[in-house]
Amino acid sequence: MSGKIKHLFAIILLATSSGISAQNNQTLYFMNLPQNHLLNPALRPGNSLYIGLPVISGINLNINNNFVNFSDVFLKRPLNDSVITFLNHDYNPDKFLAKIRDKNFFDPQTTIQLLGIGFSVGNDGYVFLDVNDRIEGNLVIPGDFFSLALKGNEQFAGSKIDLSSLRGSMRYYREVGLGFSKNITEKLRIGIKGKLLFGIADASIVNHSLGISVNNNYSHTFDANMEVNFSGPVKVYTDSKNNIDSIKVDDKKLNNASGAKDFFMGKGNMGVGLDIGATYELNDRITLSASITDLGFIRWKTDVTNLKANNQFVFSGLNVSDVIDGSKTFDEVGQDMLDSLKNAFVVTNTAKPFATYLPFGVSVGGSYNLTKSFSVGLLSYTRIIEKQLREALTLSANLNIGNLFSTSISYTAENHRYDNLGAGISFRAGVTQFYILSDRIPVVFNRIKNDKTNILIPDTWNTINLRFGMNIVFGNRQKEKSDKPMVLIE
Amino acid sequence: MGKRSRLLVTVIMIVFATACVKETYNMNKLAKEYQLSPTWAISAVKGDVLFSDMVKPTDTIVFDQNKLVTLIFKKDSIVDLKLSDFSKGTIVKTAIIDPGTFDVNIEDIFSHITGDFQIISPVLKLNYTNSFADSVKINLNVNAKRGSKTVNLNLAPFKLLKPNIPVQQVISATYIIDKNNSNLPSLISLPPDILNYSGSATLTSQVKSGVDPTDILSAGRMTGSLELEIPLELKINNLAYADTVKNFLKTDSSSDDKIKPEDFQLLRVILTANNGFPLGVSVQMILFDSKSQTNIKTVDAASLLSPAPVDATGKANGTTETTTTIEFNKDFFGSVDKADKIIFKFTLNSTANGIVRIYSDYRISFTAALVVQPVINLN
Repeated sequence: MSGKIKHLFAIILLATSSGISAQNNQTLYFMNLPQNHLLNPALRPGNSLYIGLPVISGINLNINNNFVNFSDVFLKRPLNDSVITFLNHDYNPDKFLAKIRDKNFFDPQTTIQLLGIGFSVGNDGYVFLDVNDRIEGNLVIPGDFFSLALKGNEQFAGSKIDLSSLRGSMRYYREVGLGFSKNITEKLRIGIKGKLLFGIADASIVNHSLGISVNNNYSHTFDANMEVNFSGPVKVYTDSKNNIDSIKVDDKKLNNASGAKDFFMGKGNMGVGLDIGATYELNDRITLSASITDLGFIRWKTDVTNLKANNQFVFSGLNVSDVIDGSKTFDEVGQDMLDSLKNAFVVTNTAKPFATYLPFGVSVGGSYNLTKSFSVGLLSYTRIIEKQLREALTLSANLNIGNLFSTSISYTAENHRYDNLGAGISFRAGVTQFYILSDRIPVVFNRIKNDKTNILIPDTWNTINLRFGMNIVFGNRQKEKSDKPMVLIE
Repeated sequence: MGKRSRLLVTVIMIVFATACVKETYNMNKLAKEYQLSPTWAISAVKGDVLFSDMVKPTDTIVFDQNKLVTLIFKKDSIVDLKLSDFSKGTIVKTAIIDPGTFDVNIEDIFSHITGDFQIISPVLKLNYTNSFADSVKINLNVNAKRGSKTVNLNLAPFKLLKPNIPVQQVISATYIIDKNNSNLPSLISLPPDILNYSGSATLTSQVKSGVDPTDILSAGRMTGSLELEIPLELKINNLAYADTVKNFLKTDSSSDDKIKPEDFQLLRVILTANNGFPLGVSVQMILFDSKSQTNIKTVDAASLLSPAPVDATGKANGTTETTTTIEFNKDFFGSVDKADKIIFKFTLNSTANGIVRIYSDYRISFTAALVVQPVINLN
C-alpha cells in the first residue's frame, strides 16, 4: 500500500514538474461543452444533464513559459550537422541571454476532474457541482539570475544584482464547487459558484527583497528578506546556531493508509473560493460576457514549516592584518569569515499557519452570431498571480451544431507570442461526448532522431496546452427550446 | 452545415496538414560537452598594517625614540687586554687584539640580490672599559667580504679614554665609528657576508721598555665589545631579489588535484594598495625551461607598489595609491607545462631613487581582488 501511495505521489509530482497545467482554455469558452462553466459560471451547455466521471471527464494540462524554446536549448551546426546545447563552449551565451527577460516565468498547471454534474432546473436555471484536483506552480526567475549563472558577477561591478522578483510556489489542492446560474432578465444571465478548498500540499517563497550589490572593488553586499512556507511532509532541521542543517521528506505519514488518506484529503488546510460571471445578450446576434474565477484563499495549518531570513552580509575579503601581525593563522581568519557568513544568514524556523491566495482570472468576452450555429468570438483573459499579470487575447470562430458537434478555431496572443493557433473539437455519440482542445497547436516541429528514436518535438515551447475528456450527457436543451407548434393558433 | 461551417472545418484540416518540420536534429551527433565559463570577481583579501605589525622589535631590530628602525648586531668580548698581555717580564708597548669574525648571517638572502644598495649612516660602536692608567691607542682593522669583494674600514688609530686615577679606577666609554671617520657606509653597503676584525692596542705611557711595570700597570685591564647599528636610512636603486623555484603550477598526471591550471580561462589579480612606505616594488614571474634555458612566459607587474613621497630628511610624509592588474590568461596556463622552473624577481626602489628612512609607524593598506574565469565541466 505504502509503495503504491508513494508511486501515486511521485506520478503527481512528476506530472507537475513536467509542466502539466492549464492557465485557461480560451478555445473552450465559446464551445458548447459542460466544462465551459469553469471559465464563466453563467455559461451553460446545450444538454440538460451532464455527468463527469472521475478523471476521464476532464484532464487539463498546461505549461506556460516566456523565455525558452527548443532552439534556445539546442543549436545545429550547419557545417558538420552536429548538435550542441546552450551549455557548449561554442554556444555564445549572449545569444541565449538576448532572449531572457527581466522576469522569466514558468507556470505549470494541471486540473483533473474527479466528479462533475450539471443539470437544468426550471426554465433557465442550471445547477452544477465539480470536484477537481488542481496542481499549480508558478516560478519567476529574474533575468539577472541567468546572467549570473552563465556569465558570472564581474559584469555587475558597480551595480546591484536584483533578485527581488525571484518567487515560486507549488500548490496541490482539491476544490469542491457548487454553482448556480439563471437568467435575471431576458438578456442578463448571472452565474455564481462557491467552492470549498482542501489544501493538500504547498510550498511558497515570499520574497520581500533579495539582492547582491557588487562594488567596483568587487566587495559584495548580500541582503535577503525572504520567507519560505511549507505545508507538507517536509522537515527542516537547523543546528544550534539556527543555520539550516538539512531538509528531509517525512514520508512516515505516507507509509500507512490512514496517514496517506489524511494527507490527500487535505481537511486540515481549508479555504474558500468563488467564481462569478455574467452574460448579456446585447441583441440577437451579439452576446457579451464577463467573469471572475478562482477568487479564494487557503489557510495552511497542518505540517507547517516557516523559514524566515532577514539578513545582510558584507564581504570585502579576508582581513589578513591579523595574519601579518602574527596574532592569527590564515586558517583561523578563514574560519572566522565562514562563521560570520553562517551567522549572518540565520533562519528562524517556526510552524505558524499561513494563508495563500489563489491566482484568479478575469475574463471579458463577446461573440457575434453570424448564423444560429456559427459565431465569432473575442475573449480577453487576465490572470493575476500575486503581483504578476498574464494576459491572453483570443479571436475565435466557433461552430456549435446543437449538442452533436462543436468545433472552434482560435488565434491567441499570449506570452509575448503572436503565433498561437488553437482548435477544439467535440462530438456526441449517444450519451457520450468526447472532446479535445488546445489553445496552441504546434505547427512547426523539429525532428529528433538517433539510433532508436525518431520523434517530432514542437519548436515553440511558450504554451503547451491540452484539455480532453469524455462526458456523459443527456437531453438537448436547445432543441427543446426551439421546438415550435406545428399549427399556429391565432 | 453551410459554407461557413465547411470553411471552418477545412481551415482546421489545413492547419494540421501543413504542420511542418523545421529542422532535423541528429542526436547521434550531439556534442556531449556541457560546461559553464562564468567570470567571477571577488574581493579576496585585504589588510591594513603598520611596519611594527609586520616586524616586532627584538634585540636585533630596534625602534628608537623617534620610531626609526635600526638593526643592531653585537659581538661581545672582542678585546680583553690585561697586564699580562703587555708584560712578559718587561713591558712591551703593543698587545695584539685576537682576530675574529662578525657574521651578520644574511648570506642566503644576499646571494639572490643584485643592484645598487646603500646604507647611509651605519654606526660601529666600540664599547669598552679601561682601567689602564696610561692611554691606550687602538688600531682596529675591519674588512667586509662578499664573494670576491672586500671593503676595508679604513679607520685611523684612536685613543681610548683613561680613568682619572686615583679618583676613578675604571672608565666605561664608547668609541663611535661612523661615516665621518671611516669607510663604514661602503663597508656595510657591500653588503657583507662576514666582517673580519683584528688589531692592536698600544700603550702610550712614558714608561720605558725594559722597566718592571708592576708598579704602573698592576691594576690595568681593558675589555671591549662591538655593536653595529644600522639605522634604516638607505638608498635603493633597482635592488633586485631573484629566486628560482620548482614549477609548482605544473600538473602531475598522477595528481589527484581536482583543480588544475588548464581549468581556467583567465585568472586576474587586481591589487590596490595605499603605500605609506618610501619603497616601491615591482614583480616579475617567469616560466622558465632549464633545458633550453629559455623564458617561456613572463608575467609582469611593473608598479606593484609605488613609493610614498618623502620630506627633506627622507621620512615618508604621505601615501601613494596604486592599482595593479596581473593577468594570467589561457595562453599562460597553456604554457605552464612547458616550464620546469619559475623565476620570481622582485625589484625595490626608494622614492625617486633617493635616500629614505624607514620608521616603524609606516602603514600600508591593500586589497586584492580575484577575477577568475574557470571552465566548469558539468558532465
